[in-house]
Amino acid sequence: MTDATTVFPDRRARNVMWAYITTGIAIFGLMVLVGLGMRAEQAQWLNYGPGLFYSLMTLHGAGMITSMVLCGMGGLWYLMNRERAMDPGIAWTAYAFMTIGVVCVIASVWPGGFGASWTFLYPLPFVGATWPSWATGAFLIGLALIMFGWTVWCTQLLGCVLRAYGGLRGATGWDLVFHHARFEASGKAEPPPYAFAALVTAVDGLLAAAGGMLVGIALIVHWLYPGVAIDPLWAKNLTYFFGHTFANLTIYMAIGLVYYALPKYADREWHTSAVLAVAWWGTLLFVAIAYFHHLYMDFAQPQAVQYVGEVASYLAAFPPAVVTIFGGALLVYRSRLRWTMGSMFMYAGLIGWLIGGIGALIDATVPINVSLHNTLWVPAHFHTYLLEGVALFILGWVFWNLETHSGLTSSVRTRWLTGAGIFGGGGILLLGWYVAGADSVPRRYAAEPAPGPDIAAWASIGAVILVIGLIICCVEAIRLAKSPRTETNP
Amino acid sequence: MKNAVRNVICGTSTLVAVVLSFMPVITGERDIAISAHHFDHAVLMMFGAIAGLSLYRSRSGDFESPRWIWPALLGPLVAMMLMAPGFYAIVDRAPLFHAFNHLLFVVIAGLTAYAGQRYVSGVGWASALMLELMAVAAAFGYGVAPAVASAPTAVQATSSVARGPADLVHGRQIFAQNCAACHGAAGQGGMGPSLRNEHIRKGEVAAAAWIKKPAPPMPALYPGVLNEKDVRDVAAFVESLK
Amino acid sequence: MNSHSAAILVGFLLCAGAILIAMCLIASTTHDTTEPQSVVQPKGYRLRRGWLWALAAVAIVAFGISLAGFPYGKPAEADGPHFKVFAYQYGFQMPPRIPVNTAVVFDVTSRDVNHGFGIYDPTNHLISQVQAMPGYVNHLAVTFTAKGHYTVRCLEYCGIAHAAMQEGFDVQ
Repeated sequence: MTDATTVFPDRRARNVMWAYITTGIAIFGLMVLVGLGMRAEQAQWLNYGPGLFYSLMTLHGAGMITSMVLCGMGGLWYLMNRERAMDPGIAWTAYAFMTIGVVCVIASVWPGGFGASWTFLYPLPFVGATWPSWATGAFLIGLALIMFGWTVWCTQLLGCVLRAYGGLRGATGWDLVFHHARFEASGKAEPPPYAFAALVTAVDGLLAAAGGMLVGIALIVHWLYPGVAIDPLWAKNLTYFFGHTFANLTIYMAIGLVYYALPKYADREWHTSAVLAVAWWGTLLFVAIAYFHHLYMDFAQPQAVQYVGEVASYLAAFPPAVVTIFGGALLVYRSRLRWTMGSMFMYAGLIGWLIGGIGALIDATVPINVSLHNTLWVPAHFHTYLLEGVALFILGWVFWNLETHSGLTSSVRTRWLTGAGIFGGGGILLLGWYVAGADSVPRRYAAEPAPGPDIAAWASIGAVILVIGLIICCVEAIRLAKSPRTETNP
Repeated sequence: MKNAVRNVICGTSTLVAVVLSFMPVITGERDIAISAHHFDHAVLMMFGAIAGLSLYRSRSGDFESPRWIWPALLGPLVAMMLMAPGFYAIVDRAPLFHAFNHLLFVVIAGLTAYAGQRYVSGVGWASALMLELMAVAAAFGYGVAPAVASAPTAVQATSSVARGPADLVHGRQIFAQNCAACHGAAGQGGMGPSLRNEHIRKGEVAAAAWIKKPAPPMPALYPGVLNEKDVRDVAAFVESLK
Repeated sequence: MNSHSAAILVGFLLCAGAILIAMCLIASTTHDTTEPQSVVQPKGYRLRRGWLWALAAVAIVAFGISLAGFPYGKPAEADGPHFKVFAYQYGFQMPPRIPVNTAVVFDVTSRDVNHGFGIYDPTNHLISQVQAMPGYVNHLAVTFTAKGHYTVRCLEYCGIAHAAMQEGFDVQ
């Protein structure tokens, strides 16, 4: 009889991965219900008032992003640990900081009642607050702890990538691109595609953390010493630099997992080419400077950065559209892809990402932004590639693991039911936001002007169908998880 | 890089950093703009980081030394917390204390860079860069108020002295424009409480006082939006609500 | 919904639909002929080059056209009437009447937190907006061509009464 360490030699790494992922998914599930509660309020099915609405909105934003971040962290850590072993103690410490931070954020909202939204746009947390001061502190400290945990994890991941491929030069694939013949002759292996996802996540993640920490600590100091002046435009820039980059990195983390698993479903290879390397260099740069598109309507900004914002936003779409999503489709084309829950989710996520990207590019065009900024078009596009993009990649990864370990797959009926719920219900939910946004319904309104409430009613029906799909998916996942393990180890 | 070169860089950076740290003592300068001060700290930390990076001797082989990650990451956090005003008040009283405070920044930067390199070779550069970027970015808005292009003043230039009986018609107008959104068009309540029979809870003087100095979430509209007469008139109107 | 927004929405839905159909067609190829990756890949890479150039062309054209509609410029020094707008929790202090067919400039600021000055025309469509920031004045140049009653809504989350924060003005 073989013991656990020989059958699953990387058991410690899998423990780290599952801790991050199960925590992330638990938070995700809770946040889905919070989201349904918000849409139902806007549909006037419920009437609990703006105070609770804005607290829930704050929780929903912070919780959803953190949940997707945690899942991506777990998966990427596991994959990179296979490339070069990392100390699990550091990963656990990062996890602890983030979990404590999550608890603080939840406490700030309930029972605290904090409701300044997860973008905590200074000076809002401090002016006109309907919540006690301790709730503001709890939220800011909670976010700071989450950011610190994230910084720890990014630093470890950066260290891993540098060690595994010979410094920044090897990790970026510099020689693969510019000295191809020499690189081939050296016999070195190029970094696998998900290593690029790891590098970009670590580097841009540290940059985002630096911005977030700076504005976060500044706000905490202001909370303790209200006399400390903070320039609101400076705070706005840092807040959106941190928020935009952090949220976008959830996509780039999760796609690393797809790079690994989708080829295995298709019985093909996703290899690193010079084109892939250059594409990720593009992402490294454009993701970090695209954040200016959040400040298009801030005429106080220096004019030049508005142009940078539009150019960078457009360019940021190229690596995903041309290399990753096209590459994924090419991988699947005329392959012997096994359609299971895992592959279905991963493939569907590529579709959601691309469609959401179109919505984003439209909003990123300045003259159009004038009539779409802060309308429901904004949640329309980001829910498209967070809910029907990142979340699907993560679900796909979870099912990849469950299917490989149990040796089982789901029935066609279960897949169709789940798909109908998540894609169908989700589609209705998203359509509601796009239509309402085009019709100038503002975002972040507890009580929307017409035709907001009517659209919200349809959207809420879509959300309910989505929840049913997620429940079926959850039941199926538990069934696979409970099945006895086979000897295979991916 | 040869050890001799490393030693020279390390020594020089440390020397420059120490000298710069004692500038408050040397020049005796007190009144310095906050943004300039942030840049000063950034320069200090840059030299400290250079010293720390050059102090590190690279080892051959693949190392992850987990314990060293903690000083590398805690450095920037501690540095930011040292910028809390309460701490500065102590430090600013005496230039010598200020100089030691600066030395602390240099040590933190050096430790961050060195510890990062000890953790995994190459990470020290990343930690030092993060620290430096934060120090420079702080100059643009931390402790710095925006230049107010035009101080917000009330558009209404009407008389601010309340004389004679209250004007209920005017009060009704003020109420519709400023209060109805939260208290309802007829004062029946909504986001804010109902104001019907408010006269039982607050007399006119108390109502006017509340309007001038409300507790959140009720916004303070006086004196920015409403003047004395507005307050008096709308208070009288509220009192008339049944 | 006015024609501009309808065009944007329809354009987006057509793109989304095309993507969905294309991706579903590709997915369906897994049920018929199988080809080895070594055969599919070179064909795919040639197609990818075309895809890249097509996207680049669309991006360049879109960027070029968009430049004409950038709202930045020098309205602070513009001739024509300037109107002060003060946003506060929870309303807008601004003039009740604005002249029609005149290039006016709104000088927008906030007394407390970030607000959004969003102008809705009589058909309830958002036609222009700018952020209202404490400590800064943003200048929004607008020329109203249609008379009627316009509504200003707050378009930056600002607290509990954000959804109730609005003001009306007439263009005459």
